[in-house]
Amino acid sequence: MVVLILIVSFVFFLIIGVPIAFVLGLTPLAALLVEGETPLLLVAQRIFTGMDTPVLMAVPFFILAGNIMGMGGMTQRLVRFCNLLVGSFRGGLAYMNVVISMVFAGITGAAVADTSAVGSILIPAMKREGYDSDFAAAVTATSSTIGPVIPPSIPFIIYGVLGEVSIASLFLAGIVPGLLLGLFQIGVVAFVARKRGFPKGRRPTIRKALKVSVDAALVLMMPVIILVGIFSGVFTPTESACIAVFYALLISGVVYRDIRLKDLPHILIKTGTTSSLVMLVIGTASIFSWILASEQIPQQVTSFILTATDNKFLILLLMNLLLLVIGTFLETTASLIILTPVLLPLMTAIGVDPLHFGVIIVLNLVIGLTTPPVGVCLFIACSISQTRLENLSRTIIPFLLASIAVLLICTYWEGLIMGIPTFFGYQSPIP
Amino acid sequence: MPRPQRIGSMVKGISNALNRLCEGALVLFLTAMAVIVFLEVLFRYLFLLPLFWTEELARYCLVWASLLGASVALKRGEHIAVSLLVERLPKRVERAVVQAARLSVALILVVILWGGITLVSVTSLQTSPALRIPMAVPYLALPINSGIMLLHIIVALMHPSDEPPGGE
Repeated sequence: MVVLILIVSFVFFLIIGVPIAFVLGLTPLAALLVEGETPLLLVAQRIFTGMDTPVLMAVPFFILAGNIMGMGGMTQRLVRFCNLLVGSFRGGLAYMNVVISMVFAGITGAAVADTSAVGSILIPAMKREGYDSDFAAAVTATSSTIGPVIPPSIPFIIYGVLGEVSIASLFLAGIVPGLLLGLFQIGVVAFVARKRGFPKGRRPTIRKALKVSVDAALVLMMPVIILVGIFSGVFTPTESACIAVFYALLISGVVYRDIRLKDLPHILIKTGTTSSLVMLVIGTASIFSWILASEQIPQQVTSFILTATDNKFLILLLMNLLLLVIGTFLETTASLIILTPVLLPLMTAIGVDPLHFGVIIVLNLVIGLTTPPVGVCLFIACSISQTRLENLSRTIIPFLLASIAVLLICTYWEGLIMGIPTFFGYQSPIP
Repeated sequence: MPRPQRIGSMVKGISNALNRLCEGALVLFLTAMAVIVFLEVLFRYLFLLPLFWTEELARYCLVWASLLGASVALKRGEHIAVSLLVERLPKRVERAVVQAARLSVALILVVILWGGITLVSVTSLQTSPALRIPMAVPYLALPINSGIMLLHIIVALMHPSDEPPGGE
């Protein structure tokens, strides 16, 4: 009964256009009203407890660091440096798009931010050099999904909080899948570049190369500081995100002098609204997950599926399908908060490590961001490149297949994911 | 007796003024959070003197900043919604559906406002574990910001032809 109310009201509020953060509050509210036993005070209480979590401070910090970088011309310097690395190949700008997303991924942890930051610089440049706009949009949207997989990553932080998994271990586990995504995408670019005959870039002079490298060195230090800080245990993820903010401020304010004090309020407000979208979803979704837990829905799902089959291979396959579809239609944070508590017990029951499952669920949800017809990153890339969604949806298919291939490898080759974290001392709770 | 339009523009004026205040407060809380966490690291490694209050204070700043940010985002129509289906409806039906969505948001905001006021009054005598400040200080973020968001929604309900909050 409660499940029916939850599903019906969720779909109803979503379809009439209520913002997702409020849908996640209204849906359990409807269930609470019908059930009539739990005091409605729970709603406000859960929102507060959901947000009042120290690790989540990393969310606004990483978004702030990314915004300072974009505003302060640090992104521009990164673009010039990546141009040096891959610009002279056939399809150079397309390779660059992937490579820069991988470097950018080491600083910020959100796909949508990456699409707009990298896209607004590279898509116009690609069109100027004669790339088709649908291809420019496709490679931008796809490569931005590397952002939340290579550490640091906002989805991994949220999963870590929900599943009680070490965030540093999750970050370590994301390295291999992130690199694989990048390599597979580079493979697709190479294939398309030859087929469509994309332009080659010029080889830069050594003097210019040196200048660009020196110029970008301070920016490239940023992921190093963040990741070494977290992995060595010197900083918590929150602290390292905060250090990244001050480092970015120092570089772009004092060294490069691209940012002035009066720019800061604007950057802070933009950061505040962007991160509040994630935070409000976390708050309201924790009402939702409370209802799911009190109705024992995770246990029911687990036993229902285990009576149908206990074939690990099959369950993982079906779960990937389900997650891809949900990731296409529902926002990443919301999906994580609703689905992690429901699916994690099932995964543990069939012997999938919580760390491994974290990688699987995040990969699925970020691939969903570029899946036609409604992935968010598709819309952003479309509006920057002014191409039609129909064209982009066709061009992105080979990229999508490459991402799904990475997903399947990561799903069925557990050792690939667990290797690095285990080396750094992660101990599996699964016997 | 003021005419309805004048009440309408007055409420809109209050909503705009409150929004500017929220933006200012948002900048303050985010800055405070960053400085506090930075101090935490500084004191632990440079002065070898771990501070006991930083984590709690930064957490409360996070709650305040998140809710203030949510209200500024609502005013700016930045909340993410699925508008694909609504946009395909005939104009008049679309307007009615948008109003229904706004009413739904108002409903949950009323529940949060009421719950927030209750929490503040219930916890008025409690103090926080580390800093010993009244727990009402962090909890106040709930009623204040849901109240302001409710006002923004009322303004939107009174001006149905404006952009829907949470458009896009």
